[in-house]
Amino acid sequence: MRPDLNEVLRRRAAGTGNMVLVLHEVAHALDRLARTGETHVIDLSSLPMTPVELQQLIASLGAGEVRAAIEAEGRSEVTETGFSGVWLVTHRDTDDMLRGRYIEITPLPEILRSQDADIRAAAARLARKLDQISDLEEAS
Amino acid sequence: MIRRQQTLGERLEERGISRRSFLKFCTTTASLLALPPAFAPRIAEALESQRRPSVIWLSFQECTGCSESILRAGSPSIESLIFEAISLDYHETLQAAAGHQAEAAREQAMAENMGKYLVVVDGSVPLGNPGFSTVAGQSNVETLKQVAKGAAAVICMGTCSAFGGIPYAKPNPTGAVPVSEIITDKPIVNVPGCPPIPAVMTSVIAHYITFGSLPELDDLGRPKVFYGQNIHDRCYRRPFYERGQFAQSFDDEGAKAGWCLYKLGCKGPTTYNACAVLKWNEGTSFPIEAGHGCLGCSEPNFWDKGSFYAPLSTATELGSGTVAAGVLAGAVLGAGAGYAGRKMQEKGKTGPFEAPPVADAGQKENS
Ligand code: SF4
Ligand code: SF4
Repeated sequence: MRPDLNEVLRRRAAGTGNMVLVLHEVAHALDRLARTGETHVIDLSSLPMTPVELQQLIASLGAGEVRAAIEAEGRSEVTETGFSGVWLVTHRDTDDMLRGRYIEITPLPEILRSQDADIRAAAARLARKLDQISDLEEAS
Repeated sequence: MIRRQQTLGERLEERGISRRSFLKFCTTTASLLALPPAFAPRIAEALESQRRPSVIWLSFQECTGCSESILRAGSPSIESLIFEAISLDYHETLQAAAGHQAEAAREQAMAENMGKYLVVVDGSVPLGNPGFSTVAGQSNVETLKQVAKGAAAVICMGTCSAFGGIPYAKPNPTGAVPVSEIITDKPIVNVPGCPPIPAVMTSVIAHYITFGSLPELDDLGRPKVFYGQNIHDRCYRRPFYERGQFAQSFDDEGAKAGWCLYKLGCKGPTTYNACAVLKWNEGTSFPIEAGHGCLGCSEPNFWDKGSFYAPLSTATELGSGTVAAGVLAGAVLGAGAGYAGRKMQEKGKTGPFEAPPVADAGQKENS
């Protein structure tokens, strides 16, 4: 028998039901974070959701106190949701194309921290800059 | 003189790429490979290890479009970070060295990395007359055999090396064959497309560096994560198809309203590729979004399947030989999407059913 495609379309429009599942996963992970400090990341592109469901998910997490923009080979956005420890991380590339969307359950998303390698490079750069400045001062 | 190998960190720093950008690359690569996000640090660790696999890139009967797609010379993207994690020891189009010097570099890379290097091939191999395509006086088939001998794996970049592509099209004047007809004792990954999507290529290499193995392949040797999905199944015009709303010409009202391009020759229902998901030109759109049907470029014999502008129901014509057998294997693999396609073919000019429009079923994500 031919499937009733209208029914399929109607079901698709109604959604996948995954939004509630994600919220459950967040709740469990947040509980673990609170108890043991274990962090967790959910890749939102790995499970199908309609755009409406995604909006609902983001709306139900709400907005918290932190909103950060990162420029690293394209814009990334890190926002704390209304639930402390639950962050929404969005990565875009240099052409502003969406490359990934994640929910991180952590005290601080890794991408927000200054990275050790960058810190070491920065220390060297600043030292060079000071050298240049003192050279200039000596010359004048 | 022994040159100290720079660490990845140092190379990135030299290029002004921050550690954050690198982390971002690893995270999004894990997503592309459908790996859990927890794998991102493992990818980072592997890319950072001093083991930079040697890569030898061979170009045979090709148009350089595949190299162009990956390098995106105009706007190097985050994908180009992968070139920091490999040692590209030979690439005829890119290398500065020429003549004996270039060939010597290749010999050296092969000797130093025996059994461990990766070979990337773009272009098909002519068997007709070796003189049709030679490099440094050596026929392509000889070069391929010689270089593949010590390789860990061969990656066929683009439809020409994977399935023969355009040189293989009738009447195949050069006697072109795909790599898999010559090399039978090495793992081969086919990354077809005319050209393939850059992120697919970088992800295959990242997978190899991280796990020391190749990703899971389908019956046509293509990585399942990228070629497991059918264009038609992921097409945003699909609701129009389901409702039987077809553009009849490229400038009619249906075309303007974004209706399905099936009757204008779209090969989406029989094509497996990630275009509808990953998109093209830095993610701007993909051909169907620009108003043109899919040509089926990632499938064997795409050039010989009748007119690009004839509906699938009339355009199907399989070629001969091994690749055609592959097409059948692919067709079985794609039974799900094939169902809808076949339904259309049976019905010829009308849709599988006529249905009233369903509100917001075709909504498309813009953000
Ligand atoms: S036939 Fe082509 S345009 Fe129509 S829904 Fe399928 S892939 Fe999209
Ligand atoms: S839409 Fe079809 S023809 Fe175009 S690039 Fe993708 S697979 Fe190839």
